[in-house]
Amino acid sequence: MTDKIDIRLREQWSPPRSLRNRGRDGRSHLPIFIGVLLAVLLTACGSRPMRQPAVVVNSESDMALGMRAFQDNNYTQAQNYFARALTQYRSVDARAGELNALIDLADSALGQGEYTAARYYLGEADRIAANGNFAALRAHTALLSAYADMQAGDNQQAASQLDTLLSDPATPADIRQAALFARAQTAFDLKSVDATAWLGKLGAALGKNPDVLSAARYQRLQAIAARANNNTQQAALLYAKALDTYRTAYYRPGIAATLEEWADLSMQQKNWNAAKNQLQRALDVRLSMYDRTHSIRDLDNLMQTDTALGDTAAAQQSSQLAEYLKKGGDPAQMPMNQRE
Amino acid sequence: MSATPPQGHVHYIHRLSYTARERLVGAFVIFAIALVFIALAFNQQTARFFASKFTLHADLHNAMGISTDTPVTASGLFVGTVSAITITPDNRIALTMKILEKYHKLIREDSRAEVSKLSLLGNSAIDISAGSPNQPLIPDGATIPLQEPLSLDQIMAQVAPVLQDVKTTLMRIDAMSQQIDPRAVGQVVNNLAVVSGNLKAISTQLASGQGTAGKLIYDKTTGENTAAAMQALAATLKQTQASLKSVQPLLSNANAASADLPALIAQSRKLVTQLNTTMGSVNYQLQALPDMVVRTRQILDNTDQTLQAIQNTWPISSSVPKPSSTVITPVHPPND
Repeated sequence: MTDKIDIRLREQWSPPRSLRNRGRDGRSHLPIFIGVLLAVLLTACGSRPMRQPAVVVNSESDMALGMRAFQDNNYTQAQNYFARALTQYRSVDARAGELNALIDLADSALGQGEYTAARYYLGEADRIAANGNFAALRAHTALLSAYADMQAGDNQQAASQLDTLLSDPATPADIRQAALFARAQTAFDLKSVDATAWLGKLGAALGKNPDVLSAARYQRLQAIAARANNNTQQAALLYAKALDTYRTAYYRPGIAATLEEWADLSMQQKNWNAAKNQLQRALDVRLSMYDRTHSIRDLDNLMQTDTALGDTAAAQQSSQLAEYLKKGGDPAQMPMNQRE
Repeated sequence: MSATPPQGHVHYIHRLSYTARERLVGAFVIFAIALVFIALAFNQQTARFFASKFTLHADLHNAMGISTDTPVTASGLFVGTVSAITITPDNRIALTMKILEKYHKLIREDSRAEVSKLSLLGNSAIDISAGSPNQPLIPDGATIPLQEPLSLDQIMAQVAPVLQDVKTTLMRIDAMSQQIDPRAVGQVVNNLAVVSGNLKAISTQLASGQGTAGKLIYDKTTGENTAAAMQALAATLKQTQASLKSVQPLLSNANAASADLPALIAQSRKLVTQLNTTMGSVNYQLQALPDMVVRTRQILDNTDQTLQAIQNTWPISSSVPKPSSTVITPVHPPND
């Protein structure tokens, strides 16, 4: 039956005479025809590339490069790119683009502990968001604003902002989870009685399989809880675990923050050698990120540790380096960053 | 089997005999080849292939980026290229240059070749100076004397002694300034002020007609003043003497330094001239940079467009991931 149909089809469709003709060498023209047909079909599959205006291409490129630098924890470079993108967006009054760039700038500034700059960017962002349909981004700016308050030591204000965010049912899930982290941290910083309860809420929200960075951050909060219960051994164990997790993920801010918190525990235990080791490692990470604020804090703690160890020369050096940074010195010029 | 070719809409080529068709194809091929030759002959770059040339040779120690196709100029005109580079038995580099015959009149027996200073910066060229019209034309295959420019190392070697001299002079000046103690100078000035004050007082007393020289001498107060003034003057003179003593070697140093100055200035001028030449070359290169950057950008834009077109073509489009549209930094817990 099938053979019959094939024969019929073959009889019904016959190629044009020009294709059936054979050349002097006896070859049919059919393969050439099929080749040309395929080429035409392939060409039809292509589409003309869209050419966007230079300002769009440049701003998008800057945002992408900034995002890449941010992911690599290179917040200085990220700020440079985002600032360039912001200038481009402003030049064509692209409000949504401006808002995105300002939020990114604020987040990059917070990555380096520059809460004053972050507050400025967030203020600008709020001004734009208030005059447009940007409700979705308000939760994000509110979260970053709470982070800035936390860095400034204004934990009460941060807790208030975070409570508002958490009580709003419209708050997106990812922002709600980050707000829970921040709220638990502020509760411990404020030495609130409900700090453990916030930690419990966070644990329940994270579930059984949180992502690695969330798991490490949770372990750090658990370590703070253990310290609050005078269980320093458990705290050290949790810091070690968190540090391992962060190192596996190559997440510099997490590595530095864990080492700093662990050093704080070591200093509390008067284990000065361990504290010095942890602070030095944290400082190396902070300086590699050109993080002035945290580097100054680490150097101040190092000076305290060196003094306790009786190493006055090292203490003096730490003091001098801290002074250099406090006077606006460039972290990139520090001896640690001058390696060939 | 009696296949009669259809006569209706058959292309004329099918009505031609095989020989005629071959002739037609041959005519097309010959026409195409002729077109290629005409294009080559009228193209500025390729026209020189057919121009008559003569050969020149030159020897040098350092090739300095010269290669085959390095241009040869005479009086600023492009006259030929380096066609071959060989090594002589005494390890010199022998250049063979093909020069266009129409410029032969420019190159005579007294012409000299010179490797362009731009060779230092990678733009190698050979410049031949135009010969005197009363000299005979340089013969085909002759060797032309070639002057090589100083290499960067040689220039630096010339600069080094000048810098050393400058350094030495600065050290001398530094030594001179070190030896002058500002406190000693200040003290001397103070003492001189005191002495002049005292002397003024004495002269006032003299002018006030308080008596003759004898009265001056025997007046107790005036005598004490005079003695104090004289003592201070003596001390000041002593200090001045000491200061002058310490200044004396400095002055001799200064003299020595000033003796070196003419030579130093001459060397510095030479250095400045050399630097100007080099900077002229650098400027020439730099002037071309903006244009090059713009052109490169245009090329990159075109390449980008082509790549985008390729990316949008199936099946590549299915395997190329769409660019990320993330514009907001990811939400993350606070780190502090």
